[in-house]
Amino acid sequence: MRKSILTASFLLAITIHGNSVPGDSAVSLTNATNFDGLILEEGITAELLTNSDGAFLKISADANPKKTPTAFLATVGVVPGTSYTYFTSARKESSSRILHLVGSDQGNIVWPGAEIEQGVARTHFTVPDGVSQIMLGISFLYPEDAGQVLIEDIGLFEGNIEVLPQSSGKNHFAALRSPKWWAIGLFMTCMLALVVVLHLTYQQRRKSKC
Amino acid sequence: MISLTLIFCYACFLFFGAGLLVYILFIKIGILPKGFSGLGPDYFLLLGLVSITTILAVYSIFLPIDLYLNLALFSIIYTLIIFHRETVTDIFASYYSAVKEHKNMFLTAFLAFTPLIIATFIFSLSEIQSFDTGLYHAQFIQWMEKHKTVPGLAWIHTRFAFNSHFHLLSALFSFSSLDLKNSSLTPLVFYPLNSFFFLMFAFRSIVKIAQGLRSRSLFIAVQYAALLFCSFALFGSKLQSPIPDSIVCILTLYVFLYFLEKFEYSRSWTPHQLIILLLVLILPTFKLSAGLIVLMILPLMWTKSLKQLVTIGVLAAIITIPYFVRNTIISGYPLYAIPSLDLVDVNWKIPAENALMENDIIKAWARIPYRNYQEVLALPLKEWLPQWWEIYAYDLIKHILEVSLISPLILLLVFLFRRKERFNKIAIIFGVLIVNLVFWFLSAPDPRFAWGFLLIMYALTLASLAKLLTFHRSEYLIGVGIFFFMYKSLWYTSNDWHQLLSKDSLAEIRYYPKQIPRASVKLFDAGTFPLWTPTRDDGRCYNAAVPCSPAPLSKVRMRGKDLDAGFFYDTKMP
Repeated sequence: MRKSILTASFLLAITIHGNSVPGDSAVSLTNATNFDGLILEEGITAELLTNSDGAFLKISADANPKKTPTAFLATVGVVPGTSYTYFTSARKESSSRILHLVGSDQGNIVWPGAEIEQGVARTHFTVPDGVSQIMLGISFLYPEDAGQVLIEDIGLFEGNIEVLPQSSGKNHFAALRSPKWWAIGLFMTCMLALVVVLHLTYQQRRKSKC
Repeated sequence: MISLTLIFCYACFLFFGAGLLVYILFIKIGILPKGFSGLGPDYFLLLGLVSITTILAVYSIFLPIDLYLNLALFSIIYTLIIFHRETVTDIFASYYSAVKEHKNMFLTAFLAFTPLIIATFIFSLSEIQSFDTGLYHAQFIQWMEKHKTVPGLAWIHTRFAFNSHFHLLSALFSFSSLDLKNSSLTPLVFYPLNSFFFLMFAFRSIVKIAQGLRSRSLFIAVQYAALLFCSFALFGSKLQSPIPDSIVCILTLYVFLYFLEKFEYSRSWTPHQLIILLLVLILPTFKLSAGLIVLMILPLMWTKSLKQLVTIGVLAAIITIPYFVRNTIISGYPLYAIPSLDLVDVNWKIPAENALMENDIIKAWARIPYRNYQEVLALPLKEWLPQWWEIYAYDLIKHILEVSLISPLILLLVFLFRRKERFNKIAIIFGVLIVNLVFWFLSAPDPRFAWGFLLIMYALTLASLAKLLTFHRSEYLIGVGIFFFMYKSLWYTSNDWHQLLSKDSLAEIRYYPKQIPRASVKLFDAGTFPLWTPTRDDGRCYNAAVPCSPAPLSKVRMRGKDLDAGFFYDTKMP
């Protein structure tokens, strides 16, 4: 179990580090150094599973109607005063509500955040002054029955991002993987070159026939 | 719209390029004579379809059909096209001069048929309409994209055992490995091929209708009009789904049309003899129910020498052996669900009784759906036939079936009054059609399994009637009739328009087609490997990550450590 959680932490670390967004409008998390991995509160367990899309994390919570058991998926360094958008791609298999939570050593920054159902959930927030490290997590809201959520992916981007930007990093999860625009560009360039070559050949053949 | 147009360009390049290169190869090895005259763009596209499907069938046994294969195919075809650029320019120059010569006719025809072309485009961009796509097409395509042919894959879903090679092509053109996403971050998957090949057929039909009316060849005009409008009415609204029935119908129509228009009884190979042979061979790998179309090889074999018969045998082996191998890997049988043909002893084989039951279920569903299959199969013909007629024979299908029933009479009239050179060919076509339709009726008489056969019989009957009734200036009347029926066929699909008219839909389809719904699935981890199952009881996984099965599988185990190793049923498990 410990090995699985460590592997999951590692994969999620790659996810966050890999999803850096180059350019002026987004922060690069490539150089983040203070990643601490997965932190699970009491009553929460995690397991790494794999399918054709790669690895995903199954987080299960015991029934506990008086608490909000939380799993922090990753800890990352941030710039105070800057706004960020936190994304998760997940599938909920629980009757209780599951919400985003962004914490720090000075208390919660976002609670309650976006609700996780099926698919992508996003939470926009601004880091308060004096906070240089945040924890991205999910919380089960007073779970009356045991339940679970399958986290396919998480991501953190600078700014108020409505739609996930194209990222240049590599990712093994489908929802946040970088679009391969280069392949489309390559095709269009090749087609253009082909049209030019065929046109020149046509002209040449017409001349030689004349 | 933008992404689909780009994909159509890519498909056009890949199929045309592959077709042309294979054609050049046939010239070089001495099968075909030199020259390209009389070969339309659709000829090369179809030749490309056969070639690429065959390459994919062999390749997918060892490796997944992913972006790297796309890049490799593209690079090879591109390089060879550049190498043969003079031939390509000659072919395009001949097309250009043909269009230039009759530009008014082309312009008028395409303007007149614009509503049909626009409707085809819109349906190509709309939401998936086929139930089976959510049930297993999308999953099977995903398996092909991410894995090599997996032993015992039929244990995850028995429908995978039908192994339509059209889904190999669909995997190549799904472009999920490009990792494009829509505004709600759903990864984009494309299923463009039915639309692409329907548009190809539509363009041919439009040109033929215009030429037919212009030259007062009403047989051609009526035949193509009936085929185009009826095929649009039958599956136009399902063009966005990767259902094999539509492409099988289009290819079946091409086999009969090429035979009727271009087939020559000659000792040496002609380009159209070759394409008829290749299409006839590829069709059963797309859908086994089209298997008896191989009868169309018989007229071809009539004039051939022993050496040429060996060529036919070699081509048949190249196309069909990978199909048998893939079938055996997936289900344990070379042909599923025919368990009597049992050649290998493998531990992932589906038990014969399961295969027979699957066969019976499909047969019964095709006669009377939503009823216990054993009860349906126990019914005598006189009991299930009226119920079958009531269920399936409605609207257009009823009309097509009725006309098909009287078609032998019409054929006889044509024979009596108009003995023309085409009659022999029509008689052969009717012979093959009757054998195929009898087989269809006695096995699984769901009309969609025989769209191609029913449509060609219907169109030939109408066209023969039109020829009988030809009188002075009748082309004007026929022309008006054709446009009336085009609008009628558009109106026939009006029930499916509602999904297209919302503002959200229009905004979305501007860039990319509407996406397959996201499946609501849950994890079943009480078995021996993580498996997804749908939360709803309709058994549809849509495009959820594989492995996803319609129901939990507690006794199915992985044969190794990863999904590529495959699955088997562990009878020893409690």
